[in-house]
Amino acid sequence: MNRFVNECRREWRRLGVADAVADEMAEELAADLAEAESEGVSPEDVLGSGAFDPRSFAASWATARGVTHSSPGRARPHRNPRILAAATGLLLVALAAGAGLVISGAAQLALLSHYGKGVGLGVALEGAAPTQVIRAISVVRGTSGIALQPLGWTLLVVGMFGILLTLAWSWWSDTGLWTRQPGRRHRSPDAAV
Amino acid sequence: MTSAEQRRTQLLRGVLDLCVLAVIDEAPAYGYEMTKRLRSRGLSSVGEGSIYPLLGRLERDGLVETYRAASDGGPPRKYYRTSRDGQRALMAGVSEWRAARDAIDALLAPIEAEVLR
Repeated sequence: MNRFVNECRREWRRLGVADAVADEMAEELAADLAEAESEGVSPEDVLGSGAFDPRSFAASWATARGVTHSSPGRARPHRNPRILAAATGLLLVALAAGAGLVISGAAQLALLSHYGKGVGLGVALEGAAPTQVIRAISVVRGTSGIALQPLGWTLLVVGMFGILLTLAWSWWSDTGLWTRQPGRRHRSPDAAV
Repeated sequence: MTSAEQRRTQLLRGVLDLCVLAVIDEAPAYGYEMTKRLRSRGLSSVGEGSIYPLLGRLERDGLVETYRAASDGGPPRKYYRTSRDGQRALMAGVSEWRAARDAIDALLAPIEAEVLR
């Protein structure tokens, strides 16, 4: 119940509803929901389908009261959790790939320097275990085309920076991606207006 | 939701403002109390929507007035009561409702007679 009211508060803040008005609406809502709960009545019975979508419910109530003050220019951008989630997924993949390249590259360089610094690859791999040979060959193949370690570091930095950016964006746009509860239903409330 | 429930909801939606005004014209009430009163009158499908946006609109249009008062054993609540304009709007709305109801009744009455025969 408190979570629902808090979500409404966040939406009212986003819409520029004055604090005093938002407090009054939140108080009214919380008191009604508490009374309903004490009588064994579900929020759905009090709020209808609005119980499943606090943001839409809060927006329709504030709009009906005429207490919103945000202009399109001032309003925070509309959230799009799917795009944000997809971007986060890609950044995580980049981060993992970067980490993998950096770690494996470091191991292979260590192997090369251990078995033959400044000598040919064949000499360098002499006496190495088969798995080490395969890994060393793969890095040498890689470095012949693309420098894998710098690429790994680039992916790491891009991944980390990108994830920080998505966190900041999520917080700023009130997307709630990081606080969203799994399985929460989103339905458009049939406001009775 | 069955088609009968959907129709009922749609019908109620058009006159819910009148029902709410009528309920608080009897005695001031806070939001949840109104929902209970409407439900006790058989208007349970009000739950398909929420009365809060409706109350917000009535308040914005000056059809209801609000005040805070202690409730029975609970925290102070925001009560709604009809304003002068609200009472006028209620009377006008009731007249419109009756006119519409009579016209629809006149149209549908023969059909009901056919079914009963």
